[in-house]
Amino acid sequence: MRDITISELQRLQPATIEADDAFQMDQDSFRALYDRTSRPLWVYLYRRTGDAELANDLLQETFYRFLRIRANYESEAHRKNYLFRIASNLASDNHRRKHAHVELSGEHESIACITTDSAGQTAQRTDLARAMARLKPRQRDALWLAYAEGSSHEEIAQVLGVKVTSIKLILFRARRKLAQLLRGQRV
Amino acid sequence: MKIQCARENEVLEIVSCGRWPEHCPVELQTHIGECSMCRDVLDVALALHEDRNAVHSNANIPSADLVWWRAELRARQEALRTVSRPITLAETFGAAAGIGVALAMAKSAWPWLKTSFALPDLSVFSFSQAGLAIAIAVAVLVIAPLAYLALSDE
Repeated sequence: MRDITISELQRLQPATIEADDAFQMDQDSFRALYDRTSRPLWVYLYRRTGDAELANDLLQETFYRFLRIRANYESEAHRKNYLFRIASNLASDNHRRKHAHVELSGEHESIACITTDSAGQTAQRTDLARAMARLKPRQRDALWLAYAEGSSHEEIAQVLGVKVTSIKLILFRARRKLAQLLRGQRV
Repeated sequence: MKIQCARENEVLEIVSCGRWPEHCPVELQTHIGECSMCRDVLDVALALHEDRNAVHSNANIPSADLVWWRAELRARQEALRTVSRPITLAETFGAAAGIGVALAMAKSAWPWLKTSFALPDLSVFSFSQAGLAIAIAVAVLVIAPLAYLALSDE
């Protein structure tokens, strides 16, 4: 893209380049929202991608898209669910682009990079990562939101864009499969 | 088929509050021992909860101000790009039209150029000079803007 000239810049209306106007909230409100939601979102993205750098990029993109959308939110929970929905879609798009599941060896390295716990705990998490990799993306999302984030069925349904009645079945199947995998049973 | 136990939420609460197994009521422990569904919930919730807490406490996420600044920068760039797009398009088509005019002028001046600079006679080719000139002009007028639009990052 060519550089824009000074005269072109002068012709621009200030409103078109004023970010505060382009976003749905001001910086202080954003900071408060970010402090409440960024960490669980990052952990979710990291778990979906297995890559800390990619999780950072997707987190940035999630908040950017969220800021650009002018929507009315019924509650704080609704806002948080919306953020998770954007993050989930971005992670799915990224997954489709790569056409491959997360490499387990790479995931293991990433875990070792960001955690400082014992070898036993790391091995336990590698087992979990390996077991989670054998689930469908939607099953992984549902399990994570339900048991790691403590989201209700309604909230999970909002994030995944499915009916509440379907969530119970998705969770049941995913939970049974993951439990069997964690116990080392043949599934 | 039963897909959910009525005591699932109690199990989840025990796990999320970190009360398993020391502070879990004996009666609930007995139920978990007998109910395969609650045992699954317990195993899965414990594994995911521990995993989340480990990653959560070690997560090194960018600051709110940095994320805001990057978002602001990107919003500005998108606004500028939107405003400058018609100018870029006009410039592209202007350049293509200029090349077309130059080619047309070269064609009209071809007899003079041929005699003045001793240029080779193009009539030896299987198609006429006019056909060649038109083909080149059309190619430039169509391909140049398309190539620019395809190769530019807009």
